[in-house]
Amino acid sequence: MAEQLRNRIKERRAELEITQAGLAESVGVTRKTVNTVENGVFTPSTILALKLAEALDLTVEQLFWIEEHR
Amino acid sequence: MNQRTISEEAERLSMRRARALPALGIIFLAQQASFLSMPEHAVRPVDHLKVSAWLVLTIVLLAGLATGGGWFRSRAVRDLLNDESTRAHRQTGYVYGFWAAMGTALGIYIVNMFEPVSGRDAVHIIVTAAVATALLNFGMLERRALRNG
Repeated sequence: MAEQLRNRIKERRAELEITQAGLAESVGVTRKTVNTVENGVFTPSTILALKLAEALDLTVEQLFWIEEHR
Repeated sequence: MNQRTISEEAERLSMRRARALPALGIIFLAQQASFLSMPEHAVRPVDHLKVSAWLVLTIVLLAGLATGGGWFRSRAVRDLLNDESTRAHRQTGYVYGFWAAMGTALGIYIVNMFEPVSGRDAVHIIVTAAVATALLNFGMLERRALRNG
């Protein structure tokens, strides 16, 4: 069974009207990293996941979840 | 330098690096044509120059691969240039480089059963394959990550 990390960064950014660059600046990474996390290409470290959740005013569980594929 | 300027600078350098790395990998591979055309026991000054040029370029490329570049930029810019996804891409590049080295070494081992390969030639070919593969892989991953932004 394959597991994939999903997130709602894009939706939350839209709600808060924050750009990828703005979010990247607030968590101390490049826009490229935010882009890859948002698109599910890159799995962030726990530290980055916590920082992203804090910057988007959510808990990590609200921002990220695991989806299982059979 | 404020945070926005640092981020913009890191973004610009990151894009430049993503374009430059695959190109450097290809140039590095292409450069080997002149090395392979050298006589077997090269002793002319120009041959020493060729080998030295390869050695210097290899060291520079390895240093660039290991540090991520941005050598003359501020610490803050360099830290951003080496953020989490970049470090992950570099590690993947190292893995590909390692397997390229192993494959090449095994290939040379087999060739050596039929035709002797000098120690220097073997090292040259293995290092070239490993560095070029790592550079190309790292660069392509960076390019892909920067796309669709």
